Amino acid sequence: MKNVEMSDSHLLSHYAKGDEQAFSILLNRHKDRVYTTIYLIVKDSYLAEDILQEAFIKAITMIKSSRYNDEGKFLPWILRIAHNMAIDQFRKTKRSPLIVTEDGSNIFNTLAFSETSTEDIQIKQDTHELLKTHIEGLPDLQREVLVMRHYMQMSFQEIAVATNVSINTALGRMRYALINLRKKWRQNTNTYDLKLHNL
Amino acid sequence: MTSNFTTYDVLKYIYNEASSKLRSQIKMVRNRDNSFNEEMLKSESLSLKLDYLRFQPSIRSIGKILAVSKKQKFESN
Repeated sequence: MKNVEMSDSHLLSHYAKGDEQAFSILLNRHKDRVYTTIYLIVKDSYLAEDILQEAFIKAITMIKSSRYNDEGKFLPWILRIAHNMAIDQFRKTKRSPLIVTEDGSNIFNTLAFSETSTEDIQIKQDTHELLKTHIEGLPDLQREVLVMRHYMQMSFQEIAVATNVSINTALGRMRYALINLRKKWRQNTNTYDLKLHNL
Repeated sequence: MTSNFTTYDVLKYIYNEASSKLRSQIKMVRNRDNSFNEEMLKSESLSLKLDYLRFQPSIRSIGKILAVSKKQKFESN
């Protein structure tokens, strides 16, 4: 089976006929986006891993019991399940961030890299590290809108409906999220430049 | 800069949710106002960085999910 041309919908219909390989392709196609969405909400890699498993297992159960009505929108559906689980968990625990992986190493060891150059990898790693830290520092409501817009592919209108606010409130939260991120980004860049000058 | 669009309109433009009329209006201002254009470039660059930010779950988690799928039987209607 060539997964490049296969749409989610096709993969799901193969899976529904018992083709486990189709599900494996689907899972590998979307795991990073779903995990990133969860992680940026709960800010805990252990918890994010658990929720990722729960979300996909719930999806498996629904598909295998014919309770899933596809309509070609698998990704928004699995993201919604994962998001709801992450929000529930976040509200329950409100625990402080724990930024280590299962083996106790830094979370950035698990970042997805496609570059081969060590320098490229380092730059990307630094950028991701900064961004991750800044996103984690955003107020919850701003972070929620940012996650929904960037990782759940929701429009501002959809975010407004989902969070029960007006579209201007959703836009306002996104605006402040970007302002805050840019401000923090600038501060970091200035500090970095200063360090370089003092070398 | 004279314009009749709001900061929310600018946000919609950055996120490709602006109407074509609004898009051309903002593009016009970008062309004639350098500082506005620079701010827009910074925001677009940040938005792009956010889009590319991805974390990977562990192989172990993926293995567990696949194992559950293989184990679970399809329910017939």
